[in-house]
Amino acid sequence: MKIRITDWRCDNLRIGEGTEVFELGDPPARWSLVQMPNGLGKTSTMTLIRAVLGEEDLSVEKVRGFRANDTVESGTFELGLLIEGRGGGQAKHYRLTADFDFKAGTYRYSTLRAEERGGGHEPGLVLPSDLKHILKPEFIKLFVFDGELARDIRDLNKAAADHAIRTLYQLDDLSRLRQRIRDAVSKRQEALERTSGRTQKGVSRHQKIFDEAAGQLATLKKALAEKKSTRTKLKREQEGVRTQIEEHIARSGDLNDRRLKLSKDANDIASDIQTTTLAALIAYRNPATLSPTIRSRLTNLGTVLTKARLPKSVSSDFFDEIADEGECICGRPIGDAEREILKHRKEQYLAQDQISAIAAMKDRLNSSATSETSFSATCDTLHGKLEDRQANEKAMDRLKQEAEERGDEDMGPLTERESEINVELAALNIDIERLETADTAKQRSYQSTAKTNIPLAQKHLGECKATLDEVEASFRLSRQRDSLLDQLSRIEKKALAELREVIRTETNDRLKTLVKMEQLRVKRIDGALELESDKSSSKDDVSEGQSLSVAYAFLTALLSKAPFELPFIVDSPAVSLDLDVRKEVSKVIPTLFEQMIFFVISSEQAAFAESFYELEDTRFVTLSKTADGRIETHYGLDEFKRQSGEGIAE
Amino acid sequence: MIDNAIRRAVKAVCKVDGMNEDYERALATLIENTMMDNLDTSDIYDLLDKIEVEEPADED
Repeated sequence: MKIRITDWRCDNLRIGEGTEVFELGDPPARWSLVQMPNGLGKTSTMTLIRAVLGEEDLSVEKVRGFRANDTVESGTFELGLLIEGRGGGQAKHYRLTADFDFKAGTYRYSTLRAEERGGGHEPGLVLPSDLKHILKPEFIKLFVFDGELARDIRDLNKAAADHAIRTLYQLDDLSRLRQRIRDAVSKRQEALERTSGRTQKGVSRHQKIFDEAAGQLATLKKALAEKKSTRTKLKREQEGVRTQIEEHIARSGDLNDRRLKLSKDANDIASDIQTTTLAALIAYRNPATLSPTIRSRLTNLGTVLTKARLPKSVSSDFFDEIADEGECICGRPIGDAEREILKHRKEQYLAQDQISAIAAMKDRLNSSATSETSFSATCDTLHGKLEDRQANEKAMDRLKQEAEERGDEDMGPLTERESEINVELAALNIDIERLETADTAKQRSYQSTAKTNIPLAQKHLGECKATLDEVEASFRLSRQRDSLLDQLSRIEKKALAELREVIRTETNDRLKTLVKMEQLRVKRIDGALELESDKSSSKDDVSEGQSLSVAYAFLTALLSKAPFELPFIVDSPAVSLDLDVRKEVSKVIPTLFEQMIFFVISSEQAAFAESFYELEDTRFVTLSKTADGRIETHYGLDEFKRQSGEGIAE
Repeated sequence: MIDNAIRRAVKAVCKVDGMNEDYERALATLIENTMMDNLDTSDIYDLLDKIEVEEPADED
């Protein structure tokens, strides 16, 4: 991809009120020398070119600094580009614009449609995407050359050389990527509910809590198993003792008859209790059976619903009846038109499913009045049956006592043991229920916790496991992040080391031709360029000419590696060089870039600008100020030479 | 396109860390997408998932 600058235009900017256009040709000449006296805005033009290429942020002061004078309120800078795509396709024109509002101190960047100056603006920089992502302010400074850079690349405190390499090869993007990774991991970790432990210590702590919960559950399960085993044994013993008691009672004929009858009664009572309990539950589910008051109210509601005729079966009749009445329920007369509308719209007011539900409710309410089963009466029956059972048990106890009183010595210990077993079994049943009940009401009554109840312990263990899983996942993510960040740091370091060496070698190759008097070399690049020469292993004190030569050699070496052919724009390239060095530099410079734009002052003609006089593909632009203060732009070598000869005030 | 120097650095680091070719490719793509201003956060998560870490040892 080749990028060239074709022209730029200034409206009401530092150069002067009105419009100034600088045409470099289309396609532009390879070398353009723009001769401007000092104070006419060379630096501003360089700044503006950098600003539009990089969509730079500008302060209010900087915006107002571009103003031609206090009378103008707005201004525009427009830069024309010719961009040739990969593979040498048709070159396209782009026009990048910055519009300034000097009063407000604001600005707006836009791109003008190709080939159409003054045409439709598109906001921002609209360039081919693979070019746009590299046009960042730091990179632009390399080819819209900032004179400061020539000194900075050798300043060990500024690391400008490294910075230039990092910019060109986008190594700074690796730092940006590292930050994106940190942010992405933080976002995912923050999304987790349990974020207390992202460290190994946190994982260990939650593992310990989980192990304790698992241990607690195992202890409870073991206790339950032991109690159930004991209960089984006791029940077996209880059966044995009861059998023995029955055998002893059977030895007295009359007692046995009574025992048989009591046993039969006990079975009947148990059956009745079961039946009555079921009936009570059914009655409890029917509100109408709970009390006469509730039944009365529900019956009334059923009556009201029936009269309202809301259910489906009657809703149609309801509307028909009103329609046929001749008079509405509000008292207004119903004519043929109203009658038709009523019959037509009646379906809109009740849907089928709603009507069915209401109809079912109405039927249940109406039938509630005839409900036979009263909850209260059922409860009374159940209560009576429970009293019967208690009486039966007492009668059985008396029977056993009578057997003992008739001289059966074994009966005493047997009944005593039976009582003990009953007590032990009752206690065991409570313990077992406390351990295994999942009923929340019973858990509340037992004041159960995860340490006393198995379902609660299981729930607690599940929560501990979920927490542990999240903490482990969070910790794993942290370690994965650290691993990736470390890899990226090492990649950056390794790539930078290789690139430094590549650029160092390339720079030295160029220095061989640029500086012939004393062979300068870049010893190493470590932030800045460290120089050496044939005469000195450490060359810190170099002349301005040598300094600039090193800078050019370094930049051309660097930019030769760029994925694009870029223009090179420089302000006053030779002003600080003595004539001998100028001659050397001017011989080499023209070959460095495919397009070069030099802003020069008249004093740079000698030994520098004049070396371009014979080069065919050169454009000479001369800016001059007339006696009345107007700015004039002239093209051509003659005017370029003439202005120099007149010695424009600088 | 990322520069070959970066690609070589990715390869060297992945080799030292014992990462497979699939991981190496994904890492190079992640870097390339970052440089092209085309980075998707899901690509970061996908790459992180490919990194195996040992289970933490119990401090006790």
